[in-house]
Amino acid sequence: MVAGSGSASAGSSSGRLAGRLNAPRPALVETGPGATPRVVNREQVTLVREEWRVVDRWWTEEPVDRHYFEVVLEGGRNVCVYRDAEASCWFTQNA
Amino acid sequence: MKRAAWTRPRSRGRRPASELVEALSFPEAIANELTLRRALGSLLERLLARPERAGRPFRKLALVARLVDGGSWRRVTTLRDATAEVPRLRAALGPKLQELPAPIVELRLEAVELAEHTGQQLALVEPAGEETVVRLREGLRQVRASTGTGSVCAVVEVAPWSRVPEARALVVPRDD
Repeated sequence: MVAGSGSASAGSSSGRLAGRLNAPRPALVETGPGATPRVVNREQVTLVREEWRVVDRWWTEEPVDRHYFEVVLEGGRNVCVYRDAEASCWFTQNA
Repeated sequence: MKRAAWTRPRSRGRRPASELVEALSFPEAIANELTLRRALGSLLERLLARPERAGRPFRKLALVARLVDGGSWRRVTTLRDATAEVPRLRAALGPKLQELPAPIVELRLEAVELAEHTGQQLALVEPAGEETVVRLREGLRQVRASTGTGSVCAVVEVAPWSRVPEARALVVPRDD
């Protein structure tokens, strides 16, 4: 894999910093019954494969409260979308 | 003069290996044993790939960690027989990770001492795919030369079971 120049993952050879992969991106999501995603970034959801919730770090100043859905979109792509309860908005990333 | 007479014979034949260090910093503190073992595996691969080693096996290695609270931790392992075999190195170093007192933000692997011999028998027939590997390395060297250190990266799976997709893998610069 070749990263772009000036990537956050770059570093010195003795103390190299590992970078994040598959960072979540803000998404436009329309929901259907039961707050299940129906449309993700203007693409129809054909199947909800899985659903789970992650509640973590509630004891810190950056708590995590996410409701995840792994969905298959109209074009055949598998993506993860989640609603961040803290920020009250949706994000998407590769499944 | 006396001191010089004592130290000279002891240091003869030893090559310092302390400059052979590989480190991995984590975006957030980790404590999970499987994640730590994967990080160790990645560091071992990188340390073994360092050209300064010149084929010499490791005799003594140190695992060093920076703890989440700012403290540091270090364990030195002397191998009964010098080796460069990954399974044996993993078996020797892996259990040390269980002694970590707290989550860590950086893991470092240092080659404290190398054996003088290479201990490798020459192959009668060149291994298949060797040429491809050499060409690939050369290609990566060219990319690195044009785009800079840290531009060639590898994806390391650190927690493929995680329910948080972005925590499953990290992208680590490769300079070997």
